[in-house]
Amino acid sequence: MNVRTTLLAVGEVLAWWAALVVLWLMLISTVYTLEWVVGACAAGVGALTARAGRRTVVRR
Amino acid sequence: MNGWILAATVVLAVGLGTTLWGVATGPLKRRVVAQNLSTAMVCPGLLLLSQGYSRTAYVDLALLMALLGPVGTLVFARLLAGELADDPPRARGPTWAAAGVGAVVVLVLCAVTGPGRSLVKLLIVGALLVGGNLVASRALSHGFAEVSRG
Repeated sequence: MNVRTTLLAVGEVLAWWAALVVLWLMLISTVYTLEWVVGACAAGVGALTARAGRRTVVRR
Repeated sequence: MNGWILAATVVLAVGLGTTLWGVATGPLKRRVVAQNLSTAMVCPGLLLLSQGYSRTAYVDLALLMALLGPVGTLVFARLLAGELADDPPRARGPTWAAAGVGAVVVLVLCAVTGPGRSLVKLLIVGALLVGGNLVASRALSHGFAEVSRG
């Protein structure tokens, strides 16, 4: 794993994370700080899972 | 009772009544199609009820229904692949009718809601509803030939 692949991996996780945070913000009713924190954490877990899932499908 | 609740009653009575009857009677291939369409009819009904009662929590129920309904149908399609392979169910008309009802309900509610996050949420529910319905119907009629090697 060299610098380029590391950057690609970080970029992909960040892209998933941003998309999931936006989705979270669209689906909740009231936006306040705790929602931001919980949404960001959940989106982080979701982003890692999404990358793992995509890699599993592509590798097949 | 206002117009929204009346519309929800019609959608639930006609749509859900018909699909429940289809699930309970007839051959297997009609039953799987009917159970797929039942969630596709409950979801617009819940959206109309949320507007009629001014309870936004019902939109979350509709979102769950739009998400989990097609997933359940995919499980049925996978489990019953052997039984459905010889004579796959074709339900192009009812599928597009259910998709049309969902699309019309979502678009009308979007027009009433106006711009904002709730509009985006409605559009997400609508996309999941129509897209999931079409994907699940396609899985029922075409089987799992492409993915069975996994």
